[in-house]
Amino acid sequence: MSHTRQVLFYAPKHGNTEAEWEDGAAAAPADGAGRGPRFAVADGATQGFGSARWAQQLVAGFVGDQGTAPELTADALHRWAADMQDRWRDDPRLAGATDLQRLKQATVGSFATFLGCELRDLTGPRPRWTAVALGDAVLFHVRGHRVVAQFPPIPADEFGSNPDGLPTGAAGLAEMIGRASFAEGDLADGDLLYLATDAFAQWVAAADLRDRRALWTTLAGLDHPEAFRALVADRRAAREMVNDDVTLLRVRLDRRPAEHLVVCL
Amino acid sequence: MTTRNAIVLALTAVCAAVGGLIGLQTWDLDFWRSVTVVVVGALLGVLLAFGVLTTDRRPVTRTHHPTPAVAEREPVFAQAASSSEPETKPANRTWWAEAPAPPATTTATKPQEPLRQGYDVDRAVVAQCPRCGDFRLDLKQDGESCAFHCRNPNCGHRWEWRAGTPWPTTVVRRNLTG
Amino acid sequence: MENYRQSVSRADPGCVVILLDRSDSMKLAWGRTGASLADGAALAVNNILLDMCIKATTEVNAPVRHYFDVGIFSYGARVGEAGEGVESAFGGALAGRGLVPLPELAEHPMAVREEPSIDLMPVSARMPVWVDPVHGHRTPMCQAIAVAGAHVFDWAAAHPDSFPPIVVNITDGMVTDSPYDGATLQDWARRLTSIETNDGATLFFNVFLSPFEVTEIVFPSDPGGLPPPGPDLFALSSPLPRPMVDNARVDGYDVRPGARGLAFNVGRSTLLRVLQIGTRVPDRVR
Ligand SMILES: [Zn+2]
Repeated sequence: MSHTRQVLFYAPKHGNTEAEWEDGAAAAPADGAGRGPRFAVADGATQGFGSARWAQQLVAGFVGDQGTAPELTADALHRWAADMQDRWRDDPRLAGATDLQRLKQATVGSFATFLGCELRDLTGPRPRWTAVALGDAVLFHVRGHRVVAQFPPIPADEFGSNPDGLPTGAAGLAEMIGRASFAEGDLADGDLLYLATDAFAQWVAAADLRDRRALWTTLAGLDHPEAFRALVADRRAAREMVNDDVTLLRVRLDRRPAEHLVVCL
Repeated sequence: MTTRNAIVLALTAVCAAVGGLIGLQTWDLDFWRSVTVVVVGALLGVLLAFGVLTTDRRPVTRTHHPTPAVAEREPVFAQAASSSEPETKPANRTWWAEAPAPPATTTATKPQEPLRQGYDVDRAVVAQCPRCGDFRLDLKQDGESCAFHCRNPNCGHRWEWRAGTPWPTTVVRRNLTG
Repeated sequence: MENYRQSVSRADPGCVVILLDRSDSMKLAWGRTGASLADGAALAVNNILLDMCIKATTEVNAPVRHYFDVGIFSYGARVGEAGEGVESAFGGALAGRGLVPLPELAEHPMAVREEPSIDLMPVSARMPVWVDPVHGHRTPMCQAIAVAGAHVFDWAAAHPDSFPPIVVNITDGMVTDSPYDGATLQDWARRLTSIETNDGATLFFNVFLSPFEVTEIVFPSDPGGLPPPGPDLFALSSPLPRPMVDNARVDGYDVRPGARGLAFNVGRSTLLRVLQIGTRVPDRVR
C-alpha cells in the first residue's frame, strides 16, 4: 500500500468570491526522514480578522510547508501553535493595514477549527492513520461504502456546538491544546480518507445515514472541481447543506500505482 | 482543443499552402500535378502536426465539465439603488400603495452529469497546482516527466512531476491568489 | 420554512436603518452622564456603525465587506435648514445620502475624534464619527417612517433573498405628527412592516430613552405595567425573531415567548447593547 493519491476540493460560501473562502487545506508527501504523508484542513472564523491567513498558516505549518512540522503530541503541538501565532502576527503583509484592520487584529484576532492527519507505516506491517482534531472538522475513514471510523465522532445534529479550535491570541492557547483529541486507525488497501470542514462534514454525516452507497460512490468518483461545486450547490439549494465555506480533501490508498493523469479543463 | 493546438494546426495549413504556391512558381507544372503537390503537401503537414500534438506516451485524461450556470462574481461593491438619489424621496411618493416587485425566483440548477471518459477514477492522479490549489493547468509531457504551468492569473506557478512519484506538497491558496 | 434565517453575504446583504429623534427634549441630561440624550444617542449610533464596520473588516489589503446597506434618518431639528423635518443624519461626505453601502460608510466618517467611552469609564478613544448630536423642534415620527420607508421599500425589492430590513427607532418622546398624510403612527408602522423579503417582514424596533434613572425594561413580552408611551410603542414593535432572541439570551436578557423589539427607559450602555442585539443577523460562527 505504498501509494497515496489525494485531491483537495474547496468552495466559498454561496454569494462570496474565491478570495472569501476562509478554510485551509494542505497535503504533503512523506518527508523521507520517517514522517509519513500529512493532510490537514482548517476552518477560519467568519467573524475574525485574517482568518483565511490563519487557517492557511495552520494547515501549511502542519504538513511542514512553513517551519518544522509538529509531532502529534500535546506538547509539540503547543510549541508549534505558538510559533504559528507569531508568524501570523508578524506577517509582512500587515504593513499596509488600515486603522480598522489594526484595531480588529488587536482586539478580535482569529480562530480556526483544525484537523491534521499523518499516515504511518504504509509499507510496514501495520499501516495506519493518526490524527489530531480541535473543533468540528471531521475525518471519515471509508472502506467499500462503509464508514470504518469517524473522527471526531460528531453526530449530524450536533455540528456547530463544539467551540474548540486554535486561537491567534496567546491567552487561550494552552487550554485549547489541552482539549485537542487524538485518534488512530488501521488502514487497508483501497481505503479512502476524507477530511472535511464542518458544513460538508455535517452533510456527509447525515447523508451516510440516508443512503451510504450513493454518498460514498459520489464522493469517490469526484474528479473535477466543477463536479464538486455542482454537488455543493445542489445540496445547498436543497437546504441539506449549510451555506458556508466548504472543503473536502480525499486521500486514496492503493497498492497499485496510478494509471491516469487527470488534467481538468 | 487548446489554443496551442489550434495555432499549430492553422500554421501548418498556411505553411503547406504557401509552400505549394512557391512550388508552383519554381516549377512549371500542369494542373493535376499542381493540385497533387498542394493536397499532398497540406495532408503531410496536417498529419505531422497531429502526430506532434497527440504522441503523449501516458494516457492523459482531460475531463471537461460544462461551465456552471452561475458565473462567478467579481468583487465589485454594488452601490445601493438609492445611493445617488437625494435623501428625502418625494413626500408624495406612496410606496405603501405600490405592489412590490415580484421576488426573483431562485431555481436550483441541476448539476449536469460528469462526462465520463472511460477511465478509472480510482487509479487517477488529479492534477492540482501545489502553490494555489487551482485545477486550471497547462501540461507538457516528455515521457514520464510532466511540466505543469498553473493558469490561475494570480499564480502562474511552474513545476515538474514524474509519474510514479508523490504529488508535491500542496496548499490551497486560492483565497490569497484569487 | 422558518423566516429570519438568511445570513448576510455580499450577494445577500442586510439593511439597517436607524430613525434618530432630534427633537427639543433630546437636550435633557441623560442620567448622571452630564451629557444630553442627543449626545448619548449620537455616541451609541456612531458606536454601532463602527461595530458593523469592524465586523465586516476581515483581512489586510481587502476593503470592508459589503454586508449591509445602512441609513440613518433624523427627525426633529434639521442641520442645514431651519424648521423641523426628516433628513439623512449623515454628515461630511455622506451628507444627504439615504442608504449607504458599508464599505463606503467605513471610508467616509465625517471626523475621527476623541470620544468618551459609552460605559462611563474614565477613558476615551479616537473614534470615527458619522452623526452629530442635534436637537430642536417637535417629533415628526410618522414622517420619519414615510421617508425611510421609501428607501426600505426599494431596497427590499432589490434584495428579495436577503434578511429583511431592520429599522430601529431611537426616541425620547411622543409622536407629534400623527396622523400624517391621513395615516396614524400605527398605520405607518404597519405599512413599514408589510415590506417583505422572501425571508420575512421588515423588523421595526423601538428604543425609548429616559433622562431619569428609572427601571429599564428590555424586550418585554407584555405591555401591562409600561408607563406611557410604553404600551403604544409595544404595539408598534415587531416580535423579536429567533436569531435575535438567541442574541439577547447570550447577552444575559431573560427573553420570554412573545417578546417585542422594545427597550424602555434605557441608559446609554443598554442602548448600545440593544442596538447590537437588534442588528446582529444570523451568521455562521465559522
Ligand atoms: Zn497555482
